[in-house]
Amino acid sequence: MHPPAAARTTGRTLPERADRLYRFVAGPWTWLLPAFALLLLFRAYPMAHQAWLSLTDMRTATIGQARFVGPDNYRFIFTDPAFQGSLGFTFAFTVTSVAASFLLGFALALLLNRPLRGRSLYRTLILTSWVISPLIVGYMWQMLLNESSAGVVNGMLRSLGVGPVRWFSDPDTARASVILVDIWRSSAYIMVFMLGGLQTIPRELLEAAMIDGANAWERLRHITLPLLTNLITVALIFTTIATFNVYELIVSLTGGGPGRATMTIGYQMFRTAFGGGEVVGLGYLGRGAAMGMIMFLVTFAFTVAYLRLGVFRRGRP
Amino acid sequence: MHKPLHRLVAVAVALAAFAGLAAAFAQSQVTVRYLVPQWASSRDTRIERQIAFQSVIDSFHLRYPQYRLEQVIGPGSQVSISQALADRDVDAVWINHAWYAEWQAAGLFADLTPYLSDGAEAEFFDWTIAALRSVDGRLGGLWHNTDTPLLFYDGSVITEPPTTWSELRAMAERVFVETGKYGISFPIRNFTQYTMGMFAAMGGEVFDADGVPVILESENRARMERIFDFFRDLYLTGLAPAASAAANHDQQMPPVYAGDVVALVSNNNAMPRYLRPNLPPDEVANWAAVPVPYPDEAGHGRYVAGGWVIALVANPDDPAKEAAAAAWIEHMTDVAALRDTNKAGGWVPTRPSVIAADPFYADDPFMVTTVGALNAGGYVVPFHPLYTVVTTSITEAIAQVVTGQQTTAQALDAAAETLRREHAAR
Repeated sequence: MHPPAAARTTGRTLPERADRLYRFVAGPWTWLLPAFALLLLFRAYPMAHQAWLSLTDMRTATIGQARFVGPDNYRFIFTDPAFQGSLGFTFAFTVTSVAASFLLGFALALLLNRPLRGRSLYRTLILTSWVISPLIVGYMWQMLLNESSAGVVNGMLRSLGVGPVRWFSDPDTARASVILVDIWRSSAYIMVFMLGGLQTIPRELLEAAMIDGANAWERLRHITLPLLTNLITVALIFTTIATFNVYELIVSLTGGGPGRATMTIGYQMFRTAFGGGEVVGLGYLGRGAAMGMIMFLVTFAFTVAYLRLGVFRRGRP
Repeated sequence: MHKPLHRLVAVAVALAAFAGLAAAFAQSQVTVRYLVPQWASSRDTRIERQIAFQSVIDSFHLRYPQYRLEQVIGPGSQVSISQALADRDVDAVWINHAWYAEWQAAGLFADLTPYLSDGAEAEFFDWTIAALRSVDGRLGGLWHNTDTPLLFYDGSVITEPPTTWSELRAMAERVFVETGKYGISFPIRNFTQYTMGMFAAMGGEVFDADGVPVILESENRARMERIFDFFRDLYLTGLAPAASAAANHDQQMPPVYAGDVVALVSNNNAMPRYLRPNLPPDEVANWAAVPVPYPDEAGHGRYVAGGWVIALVANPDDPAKEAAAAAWIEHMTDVAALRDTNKAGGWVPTRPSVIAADPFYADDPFMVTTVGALNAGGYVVPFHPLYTVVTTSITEAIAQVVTGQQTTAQALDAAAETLRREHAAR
């Protein structure tokens, strides 16, 4: 028996081809199409549009009359001492805040994973700092750290014979203040993440290690941490991105001041593009878009770095 | 038997006729689409603003039955207005005065002059008209409300308020020595709102005739150094609270509420906005206001006037619509509308006659002081695309100086470099 001529050329019979087509149409790609379309519409297109915008001189006052200026916006930004200052502070802010938030959040998670009286209450109280909007957190700490004689924290310090501390009017202290407030907020997020992970670790493993004579540090190092590495990676990626892009907290806490002492790239981008605070619209949309692209690339690099560190691979059981 | 049916048919015919007439009437009306932020519209959450703005709309409809006003509520941001203007989607817009120049220069606004009633222009503060015409000679809108900073002081501590900077410094020193309190607070984040008028009073120029920023060049630089040094001295000698070096209007208030500060510079509406709601009534009664003190060498003060403008969108394809929008703008800024809407908003009307004729304004000492300052030296900042860059650079520079991070020379050098770069980039 020989196959028909048509099938001979492709090596497949007609029913085979029909079956293949059916499997393709009914297969995963077809079902993924709507999701891909939405991704293209809501992710790829805005990104591409922003990339194009960053190569124009578009301003809010003259929307629709943009000229292509090539890399001028990037050239301006990278030679701008103000942007360099913001970039430096944003990196310092991110590294310090993420590292401290992680250590504090993880420590809190370990603590609250143990049998403890009122554990649920503590968990809820700590989580509150993450639940509150960053804008509100900023205003709240503005009041708590107020430098007047009515300031709550300075009042407490005064009763101990310390201060008053210039929380926001001294540039160095202002930088420390925003980092501390961010740690206060982000550590709660890390705690929730880690607590969830800790509760998935089989109790038998830890008990077996204890029977074998492993102390607390050894159990943490050889059992808990390896089993949590995937989760830690995800938590670090999310926290790093959120911290690097911080905007609301700065707006409500210091407005980027005094001077530019606490100006982050996120806030500078917004102010450049839309104005904000006392700035009634700088309106440089093109330049703002270029700053946004730089922020995207940096956060992308952070994410790749975390993944390349091999945390995911080594974390596989 | 057929009676109910007849009635039903008659009612249906009458309704159809009414609907037809209404539709025909609506078609014969010209609709003015007015882009306005919610807080300056009849849709605001505050009842007094709802009533005030709706009453102006109602009276417009009564006065001009051929026109219909449609409020287009927007966020009031520069971006949203810019998009609406680019799409020619609206006929009149409520804008911050600082945004007017570029849109006017781009030809997006029509000239109101041929539409205005005789003598209407002369009714407004002259500097509002002068500023609006300064772009290209045309009047693209009318100024609805304004404001200016004042020096507020506690009269139980300060019996003779200062008028010059040397008096201000002496007063601050005396208060500090005698009471341990601060005799003055400036919100440094709003620095240029107070000082650009004084810079102008000293003869300073922000831009030259070609639009080049010269604020930090030669004699202008010397004037700015003088201003910076005055504030540097106030802050670094501890006569002003360090906290206000990083504060805006709102953020400078807690030390005032706590009783640490007995005089402050703030917007003219600080009494209803900050002091009255937050101080005990017997303390509030002690507070008064005077125009912001000026540099001695200037001999007089200039007071920066802000505010909002209602602009007429150019519509060459539909002159009837443009005329209707112009009628709305004139109506919205007539005596009654300015009186009622400014009362509801807590703003200063831009027609002095409104203020003089109404006890609400004429009997309010803070309003009298405000109008006195504006009449004596109302100053509108230059309408220039780089002006925001100028104010941002100067504000960041003064913060470096009053916090002791940089000397005046270093901070002004950095600001000058920023201005040069920004000017070159344009």
